[in-house]
Amino acid sequence: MAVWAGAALVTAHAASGGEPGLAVSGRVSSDMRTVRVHLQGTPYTGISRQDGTFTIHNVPPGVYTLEVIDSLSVWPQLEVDVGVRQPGRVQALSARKETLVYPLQLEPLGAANYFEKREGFNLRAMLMNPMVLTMGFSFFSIFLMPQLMKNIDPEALKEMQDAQKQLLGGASAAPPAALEGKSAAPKRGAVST
Amino acid sequence: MLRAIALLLGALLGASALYEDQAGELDWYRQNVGAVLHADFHTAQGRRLVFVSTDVGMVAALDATTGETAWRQPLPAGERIVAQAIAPGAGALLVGSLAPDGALMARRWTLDGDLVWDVAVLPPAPDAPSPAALAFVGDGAESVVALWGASVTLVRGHTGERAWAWTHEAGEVSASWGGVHLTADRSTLVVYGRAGAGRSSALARAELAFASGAPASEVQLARAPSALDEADAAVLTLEPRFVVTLDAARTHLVFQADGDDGAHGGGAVRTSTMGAWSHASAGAHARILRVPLPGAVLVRLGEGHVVLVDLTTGEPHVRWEARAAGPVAIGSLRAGAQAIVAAVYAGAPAASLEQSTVLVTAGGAEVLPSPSAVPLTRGSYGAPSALYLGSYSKKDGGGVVQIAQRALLVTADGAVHGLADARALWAREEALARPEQLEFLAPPRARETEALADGPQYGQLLRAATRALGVAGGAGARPDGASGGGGALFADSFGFRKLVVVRTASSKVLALRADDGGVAWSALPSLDGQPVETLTMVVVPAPITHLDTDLLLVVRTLSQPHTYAALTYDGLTGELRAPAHSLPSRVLWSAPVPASDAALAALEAGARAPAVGHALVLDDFTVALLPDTDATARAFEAARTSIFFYLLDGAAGVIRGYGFARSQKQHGFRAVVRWTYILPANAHDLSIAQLDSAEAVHAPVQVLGDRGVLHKHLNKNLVALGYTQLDRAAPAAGPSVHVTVLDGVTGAAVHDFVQPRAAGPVKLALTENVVVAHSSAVPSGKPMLSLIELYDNATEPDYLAIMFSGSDAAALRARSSFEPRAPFALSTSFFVSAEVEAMAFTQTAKGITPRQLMLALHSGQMLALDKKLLDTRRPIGAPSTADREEGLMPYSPVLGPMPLQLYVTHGHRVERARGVRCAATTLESTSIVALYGADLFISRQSPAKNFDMLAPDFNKGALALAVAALGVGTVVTTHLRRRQELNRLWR
Repeated sequence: MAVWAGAALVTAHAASGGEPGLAVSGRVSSDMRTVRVHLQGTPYTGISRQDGTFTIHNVPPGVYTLEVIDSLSVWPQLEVDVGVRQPGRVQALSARKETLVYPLQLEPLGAANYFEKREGFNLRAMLMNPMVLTMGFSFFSIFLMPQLMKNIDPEALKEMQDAQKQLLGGASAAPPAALEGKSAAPKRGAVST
Repeated sequence: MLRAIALLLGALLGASALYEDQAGELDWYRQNVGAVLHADFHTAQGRRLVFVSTDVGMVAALDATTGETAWRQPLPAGERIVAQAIAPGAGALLVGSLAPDGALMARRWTLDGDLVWDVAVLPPAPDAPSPAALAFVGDGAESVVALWGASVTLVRGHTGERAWAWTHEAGEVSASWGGVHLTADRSTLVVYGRAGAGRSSALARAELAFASGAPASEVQLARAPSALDEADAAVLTLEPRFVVTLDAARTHLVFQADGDDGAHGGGAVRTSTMGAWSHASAGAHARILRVPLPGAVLVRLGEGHVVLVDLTTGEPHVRWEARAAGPVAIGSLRAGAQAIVAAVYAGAPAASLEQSTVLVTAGGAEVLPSPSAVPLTRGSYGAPSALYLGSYSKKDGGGVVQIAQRALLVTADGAVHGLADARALWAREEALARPEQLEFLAPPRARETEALADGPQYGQLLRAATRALGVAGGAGARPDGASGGGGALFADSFGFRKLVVVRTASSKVLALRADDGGVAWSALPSLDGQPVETLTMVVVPAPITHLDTDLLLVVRTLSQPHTYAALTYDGLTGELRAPAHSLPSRVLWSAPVPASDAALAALEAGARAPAVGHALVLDDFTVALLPDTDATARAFEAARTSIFFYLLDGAAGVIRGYGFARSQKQHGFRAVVRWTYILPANAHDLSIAQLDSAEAVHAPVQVLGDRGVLHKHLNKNLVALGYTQLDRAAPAAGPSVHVTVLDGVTGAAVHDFVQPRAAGPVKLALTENVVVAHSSAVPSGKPMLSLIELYDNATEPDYLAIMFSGSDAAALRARSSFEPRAPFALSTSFFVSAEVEAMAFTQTAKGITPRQLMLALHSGQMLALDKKLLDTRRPIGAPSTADREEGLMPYSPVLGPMPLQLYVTHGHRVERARGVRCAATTLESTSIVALYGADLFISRQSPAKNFDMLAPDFNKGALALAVAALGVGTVVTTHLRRRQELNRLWR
């Protein structure tokens, strides 16, 4: 009420010399931090006081978008009707065009987080990395595959070799010795001696 | 649809979002307070603070010992601070300001920077009187009195509630109040000032009931012997009280004693002829300054002459003169039984400052025998302009407590210096709070490294190699402070190392390092020792990459008639290249003259002579060449047919385009009008912008989702003109914003865009074939962005031509403005959730990376908007398959609210934001962006992530370890394989 009384005084005073103006007032919940409450497209700005209240002085009649300038929290934007629909009075509408309580009660929507979250160590993500998968396959082929071949049942190995032989055909098939791990070439040691 | 928008926004987010640990690594922020207008010292909780209010509307507390900002509170934009008062006992700081609409505002702050109350003391007034005075009266700051013109307003000190207001209006003798005094019984408020004008001037005195403001009696008028000065308010001294002012000619001191008995103590008005006090003639420069001394004022008679006047006798108590003529800054303080008055002025060597001090005690006044030097930190600051003194107690060697003096000195450039005990404690370059122009300046490449430093991949190796070999500058040596000296600053391989050159409102030029914000050099231009106003700053790029870039300043003297001159500085070191080049008039336009092939060859061969000329178009449209040599004239003659410029005459609503022709004079050229474009008669809020001629464009076409192409209308001579127009035939329709795109060479109107029901001021940004305009919707005032994209009419796309002429040079040089093409335009508009103060597009080395639109918001933040969001072809309704393939989002009339990760400034706010500048780096992915206003923020921006650079957090150690492990593994397995093979063969 005190703010309204002040606004009435200002209006009465201004009526003689200049354009009449109203005061837009309210309270912000900002944990005692100072924030600015601004009407977009105008120079009219209020500064929040110690107790969270604010007043934007000498606002000419019009419809404005009210925003809170604060880099630590996210605030809603409101539409403020200053003396247009109801001369001498201020009305505020939310984004959904709902009429709000006046003087305004502004609450932040949440804390502002401007940063991307850096992901920590993730073993699953690391193992699923294509490079890691490629390296793992290569490791498997080079080191583990021969071990598997050694431990395989001789009869099963023989069957595999036969199947491979049939698959490749007689002309292009590798000599059986190669599949058995024995070289068809003469032994170097025998040649040199 | 919302899901699609959210998904795309999410995808865009990743493009430029910052990790928290990168804040401060990839960017820096410089916070300023501005040049100090009022200052009060106070020690609270063991911390010595100085509370200041400044010329950019900031209220702040600075640590008097370190100069650091303890707290800072910006007043609403546009408010001009006119008064400050402090009540230390009550922990209250009072600041008065004039709002843009002319209302007088008063705010009470705690000494910790919290706002206690704010009140519009007096309503908006179109012809607002100035100056105003605010004062605490009563115990414990219980009341505040505001004096403004003929009005006296009492505000409750604890609540900010207006108690009463009284205005003296009596026909032609309207008063202007300047001093206030509360009587000892707290019943009456006595206000003092002057009334009337001309020969009817009088000293005025009114008594008002403290409780109600009711006048206790008629206003008492004491006729002055001559007309009184109307520019400054009358001054009231400490007990014994005198009300003092100057006569209109500022040659006489006019004063009157006053007592608590309710009557003018001395009765008659007395005058003293100031001319008798000094051989310096008093006049326009004379000023009365309050001092905390009983019955005394300081009178500054003019440059360098100061008199402390004892008004009980009407004669100088003490007088002293500065040893050198020039501006004098005067401060005073009262410490116990003594008072100190100090004056700082330019010393005999012009570069030094000296302080002369007077001690005033009950026994008399004493001028300290010799002036002490005022030591300032290195830099160019100019003459002293204001001095504020504060006292503090300290113990000497014997444990005796002494009163010492601390000072805040403001110099002509706006810098603020903290001084104590003949020592400079700190300096703040507060000229940066009022930037007029900001430019990026690329340092040269070292000759030794240029041949190899072709890409970023070689940069690290080169840096390491040059460091190892001790090649000067290869490792990025920096200039040696202000002197510059021979220390060279060379470009780094990524192009991040640049200088940010700022021209300030105080005409000072400062070069800051873009990577850490340090001041590389600063210069306050002058002509023959006289202060000057810097009108223009032009960056003159070096013709070859291993030479320094120059800065050309066009200046004029402050005194009438103005003398004009051109000064050329080495942009890297801040050294003056050559003596000032006198100019006969102001400069309308300027541009570097392209160096000839022969000159370039000479430079490559190591020639030291300046091969870059500069052409200046003077007021009479003649061309002045710098240097005025045959070589420069030949170079200009060779290039003149391809040089064009335009001038906007906002008052007449005309833009004229100019070319160059030869004149009769030897080496003579003159600018001639080539075209004229006349704006509609009712156009207002004009703004103009043009393409950055250095902007790189990679793709001449835009590939569509259906594999078709749109040919961009690429023309480096595009000029965009924005204005607001009210159709007089249909005023009910409201104003509309027009954006007219012109060809700067021929003046041809390329396109005209109209945004109905919108108003300016229009802010513009251009890139490639895109024009963006910011305006406000009418009547809601919601901010809007309008986009205009220009495309050429091409029937069949020539794919081979596109593939082989895709580079910037081939695509753009082949087209001429004299072969006009009528483009077609796609346009759209969006509402945005935040008010925009300025905007610019990111720039990259080759123009391959998608651009972002950087918006400087009213809130002081900078928002990066991806071009995808601003596409004119966003479909209305469900997107087609081709639209989806192209990544087009469904159209939404409102852009925002934006994800917070797109706010480049994160938690920082650049107060009074007024401009954005972007510069390319060597890395194609990265652009350097600067947001400037009262503060400065610089960051690196990568619209498409760092695709050509390892991330800063890349684990190089792990990479080295993996490579080493692979190497060892290869060696070991080879060895094992050989052994195995040998064993097998021997088997």
